[in-house]
Amino acid sequence: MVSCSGECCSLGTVSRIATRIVLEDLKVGETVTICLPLFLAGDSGERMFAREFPTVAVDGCHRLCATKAIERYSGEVAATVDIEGLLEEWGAEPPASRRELEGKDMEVVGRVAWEIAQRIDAIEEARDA
Amino acid sequence: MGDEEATRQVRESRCIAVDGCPLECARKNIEIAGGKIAAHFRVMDLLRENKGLKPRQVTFLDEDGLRLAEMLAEEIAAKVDELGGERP
Repeated sequence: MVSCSGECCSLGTVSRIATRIVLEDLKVGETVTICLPLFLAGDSGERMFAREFPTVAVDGCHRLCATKAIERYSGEVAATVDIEGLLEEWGAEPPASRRELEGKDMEVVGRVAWEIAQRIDAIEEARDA
Repeated sequence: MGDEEATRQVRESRCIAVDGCPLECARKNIEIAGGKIAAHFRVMDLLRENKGLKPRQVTFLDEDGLRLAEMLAEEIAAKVDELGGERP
Protein backbone atom coordinates (compact mmCIF):
# COMPACT_ATOMS: atom_id res chain seq x y z
CA MET A 1 0.00 0.00 0.00
CA VAL A 2 1.18 3.48 -0.77
CA SER A 3 -0.75 6.08 1.20
CA CYS A 4 -1.30 9.75 0.51
CA SER A 5 0.79 11.93 2.80
CA GLY A 6 -1.09 15.10 1.96
CA GLU A 7 -1.46 18.00 4.37
CA CYS A 8 -3.83 20.25 2.41
CA CYS A 9 -6.93 18.65 3.95
CA SER A 10 -7.89 16.06 6.54
CA LEU A 11 -8.14 13.25 4.01
CA GLY A 12 -4.35 12.75 4.09
CA THR A 13 -4.70 11.92 7.78
CA VAL A 14 -7.59 9.56 7.01
CA SER A 15 -5.43 7.84 4.35
CA ARG A 16 -2.51 7.27 6.67
CA ILE A 17 -4.54 5.98 9.63
CA ALA A 18 -6.73 3.72 7.46
CA THR A 19 -3.62 2.27 5.82
CA ARG A 20 -2.06 1.54 9.19
CA ILE A 21 -5.27 -0.15 10.41
CA VAL A 22 -5.09 -2.46 7.39
CA LEU A 23 -1.40 -3.11 8.05
CA GLU A 24 -1.78 -3.74 11.79
CA ASP A 25 -5.29 -5.20 12.15
CA LEU A 26 -7.05 -6.28 8.96
CA LYS A 27 -4.24 -7.72 6.83
CA VAL A 28 -1.47 -8.43 9.30
CA GLY A 29 1.50 -10.16 7.67
CA GLU A 30 -0.04 -9.91 4.21
CA THR A 31 0.74 -6.28 3.49
CA VAL A 32 3.50 -3.71 3.76
CA THR A 33 3.38 0.00 3.28
CA ILE A 34 5.72 2.15 1.24
CA CYS A 35 6.33 5.75 2.17
CA LEU A 36 5.12 8.04 -0.66
CA PRO A 37 7.72 10.79 -0.05
CA LEU A 38 10.50 8.19 -0.19
CA PHE A 39 8.99 6.79 -3.37
CA LEU A 40 8.95 10.28 -4.91
CA ALA A 41 12.46 11.11 -3.72
CA GLY A 42 13.79 8.35 -5.91
CA ASP A 43 14.49 5.28 -3.79
CA SER A 44 15.02 2.56 -6.38
CA GLY A 45 14.33 -0.24 -3.87
CA GLU A 46 10.85 1.06 -3.15
CA ARG A 47 10.09 1.55 -6.83
CA MET A 48 11.35 -1.94 -7.65
CA PHE A 49 9.19 -3.40 -4.88
CA ALA A 50 6.08 -1.72 -6.30
CA ARG A 51 7.00 -3.05 -9.73
CA GLU A 52 7.26 -6.63 -8.43
CA PHE A 53 4.27 -6.77 -6.09
CA PRO A 54 0.61 -5.72 -6.53
CA THR A 55 0.37 -2.21 -5.14
CA VAL A 56 -2.71 -0.45 -3.79
CA ALA A 57 -2.71 3.35 -3.92
CA VAL A 58 -4.62 4.96 -1.04
CA ASP A 59 -5.37 8.47 -2.23
CA GLY A 60 -6.93 11.14 -0.04
CA CYS A 61 -8.31 13.31 -2.81
CA HIS A 62 -9.09 13.33 -6.51
CA ARG A 63 -5.55 14.50 -7.32
CA LEU A 64 -4.55 10.83 -6.91
CA CYS A 65 -0.87 11.53 -6.19
CA ALA A 66 -0.12 8.01 -4.94
CA THR A 67 -1.66 6.44 -8.05
CA LYS A 68 0.22 8.81 -10.35
CA ALA A 69 3.53 8.18 -8.57
CA ILE A 70 3.17 4.40 -8.81
CA GLU A 71 2.18 4.58 -12.47
CA ARG A 72 5.05 6.92 -13.29
CA TYR A 73 7.80 4.98 -11.53
CA SER A 74 6.64 1.38 -11.19
CA GLY A 75 3.78 0.57 -13.56
CA GLU A 76 0.06 -0.04 -13.27
CA VAL A 77 -1.53 0.00 -9.81
CA ALA A 78 -3.38 -3.11 -8.67
CA ALA A 79 -6.10 -0.86 -7.20
CA THR A 80 -6.79 2.74 -6.25
CA VAL A 81 -8.83 3.78 -3.22
CA ASP A 82 -10.02 7.37 -3.80
CA ILE A 83 -11.16 8.45 -0.35
CA GLU A 84 -12.71 11.74 -1.49
CA GLY A 85 -14.76 9.69 -3.97
CA LEU A 86 -15.81 7.23 -1.27
CA LEU A 87 -16.95 10.03 1.03
CA GLU A 88 -19.00 11.56 -1.79
CA GLU A 89 -20.56 8.13 -2.42
CA TRP A 90 -21.37 7.70 1.29
CA GLY A 91 -22.57 11.26 1.78
CA ALA A 92 -20.00 11.64 4.57
CA GLU A 93 -18.17 14.81 5.56
CA PRO A 94 -14.36 14.90 5.75
CA PRO A 95 -13.05 15.27 9.33
CA ALA A 96 -12.73 18.86 10.51
CA SER A 97 -9.30 18.31 12.10
CA ARG A 98 -6.21 17.27 10.16
CA ARG A 99 -4.38 16.34 13.34
CA GLU A 100 -6.65 14.32 15.59
CA LEU A 101 -9.52 12.10 14.55
CA GLU A 102 -12.09 10.74 16.95
CA GLY A 103 -15.68 9.52 17.20
CA LYS A 104 -17.53 9.84 13.89
CA ASP A 105 -14.29 10.53 12.04
CA MET A 106 -12.82 7.23 13.21
CA GLU A 107 -15.95 5.45 11.93
CA VAL A 108 -15.14 6.89 8.48
CA VAL A 109 -11.52 5.76 8.85
CA GLY A 110 -12.75 2.26 9.72
CA ARG A 111 -14.96 2.14 6.61
CA VAL A 112 -12.06 3.30 4.45
CA ALA A 113 -9.79 0.62 5.97
CA TRP A 114 -12.43 -2.00 5.22
CA GLU A 115 -12.61 -0.78 1.59
CA ILE A 116 -8.83 -1.11 1.26
CA ALA A 117 -9.01 -4.64 2.68
CA GLN A 118 -11.75 -5.50 0.16
CA ARG A 119 -9.47 -4.37 -2.71
CA ILE A 120 -6.70 -6.58 -1.31
CA ASP A 121 -9.09 -9.55 -1.11
CA ALA A 122 -10.02 -8.98 -4.76
CA ILE A 123 -6.33 -8.89 -5.76
CA GLU A 124 -5.69 -12.15 -3.87
CA GLU A 125 -8.74 -13.82 -5.42
CA ALA A 126 -7.65 -12.79 -8.93
CA ARG A 127 -4.14 -14.08 -8.24
CA ASP A 128 -5.41 -17.44 -6.93
CA ALA A 129 -8.00 -17.97 -9.71
CA MET B 1 3.06 14.78 -7.67
CA GLY B 2 3.63 17.18 -10.52
CA ASP B 3 0.97 19.57 -9.25
CA GLU B 4 1.90 22.91 -10.82
CA GLU B 5 0.51 25.09 -8.06
CA ALA B 6 2.24 23.11 -5.31
CA THR B 7 5.53 23.14 -7.22
CA ARG B 8 5.25 26.90 -7.79
CA GLN B 9 4.65 27.49 -4.08
CA VAL B 10 7.71 25.42 -3.18
CA ARG B 11 9.87 27.27 -5.72
CA GLU B 12 8.70 30.72 -4.64
CA SER B 13 8.78 30.21 -0.87
CA ARG B 14 11.39 29.68 1.79
CA CYS B 15 10.85 26.07 2.77
CA ILE B 16 11.27 24.29 6.08
CA ALA B 17 11.99 20.57 5.75
CA VAL B 18 10.90 18.37 8.64
CA ASP B 19 12.25 14.85 8.31
CA GLY B 20 11.17 11.93 10.44
CA CYS B 21 13.92 9.51 9.45
CA PRO B 22 17.53 9.62 8.23
CA LEU B 23 16.46 9.21 4.58
CA GLU B 24 15.47 12.90 4.60
CA CYS B 25 12.70 12.63 2.00
CA ALA B 26 11.25 16.07 2.80
CA ARG B 27 14.57 17.79 2.08
CA LYS B 28 15.14 15.73 -1.05
CA ASN B 29 11.65 16.41 -2.44
CA ILE B 30 12.03 20.17 -1.88
CA GLU B 31 15.33 20.07 -3.73
CA ILE B 32 13.86 17.98 -6.56
CA ALA B 33 11.05 20.57 -6.93
CA GLY B 34 13.65 23.36 -7.17
CA GLY B 35 12.86 24.91 -3.78
CA LYS B 36 15.23 26.64 -1.38
CA ILE B 37 15.58 25.17 2.10
CA ALA B 38 15.57 27.87 4.77
CA ALA B 39 15.68 25.39 7.65
CA HIS B 40 15.91 21.67 8.14
CA PHE B 41 14.65 19.75 11.20
CA ARG B 42 15.38 16.10 11.82
CA VAL B 43 13.38 14.16 14.36
CA MET B 44 16.37 11.84 14.86
CA ASP B 45 18.40 14.81 16.19
CA LEU B 46 15.63 15.67 18.63
CA LEU B 47 15.51 12.06 19.82
CA ARG B 48 19.28 12.11 20.44
CA GLU B 49 18.91 15.28 22.50
CA ASN B 50 16.04 13.77 24.51
CA LYS B 51 17.09 10.21 25.18
CA GLY B 52 14.59 9.85 28.01
CA LEU B 53 11.71 10.08 25.55
CA LYS B 54 10.96 6.86 23.72
CA PRO B 55 7.95 7.08 21.41
CA ARG B 56 6.69 3.59 20.56
CA GLN B 57 3.32 4.01 18.91
CA VAL B 58 3.09 4.68 15.19
CA THR B 59 -0.55 5.13 14.24
CA PHE B 60 -1.46 7.29 17.24
CA LEU B 61 1.33 8.98 19.18
CA ASP B 62 1.84 7.94 22.79
CA GLU B 63 2.72 10.42 25.55
CA ASP B 64 6.43 10.54 24.67
CA GLY B 65 5.63 10.94 20.99
CA LEU B 66 3.28 13.81 21.71
CA ARG B 67 5.89 15.53 23.90
CA LEU B 68 8.47 15.26 21.13
CA ALA B 69 5.95 16.57 18.59
CA GLU B 70 5.20 19.58 20.80
CA MET B 71 8.92 20.29 21.29
CA LEU B 72 9.54 20.07 17.57
CA ALA B 73 6.55 22.28 16.82
CA GLU B 74 7.95 24.94 19.18
CA GLU B 75 11.35 24.79 17.45
CA ILE B 76 9.74 25.09 14.03
CA ALA B 77 7.56 28.00 15.18
CA ALA B 78 10.64 29.78 16.57
CA LYS B 79 12.36 29.32 13.22
CA VAL B 80 9.31 30.72 11.43
CA ASP B 81 9.52 33.79 13.70
CA GLU B 82 13.23 34.10 12.96
CA LEU B 83 12.54 33.93 9.25
CA GLY B 84 9.90 36.63 9.58
CA GLY B 85 6.90 34.45 8.91
CA GLU B 86 3.51 34.70 10.55
CA ARG B 87 1.93 32.32 13.03
CA PRO B 88 -1.75 31.50 12.43
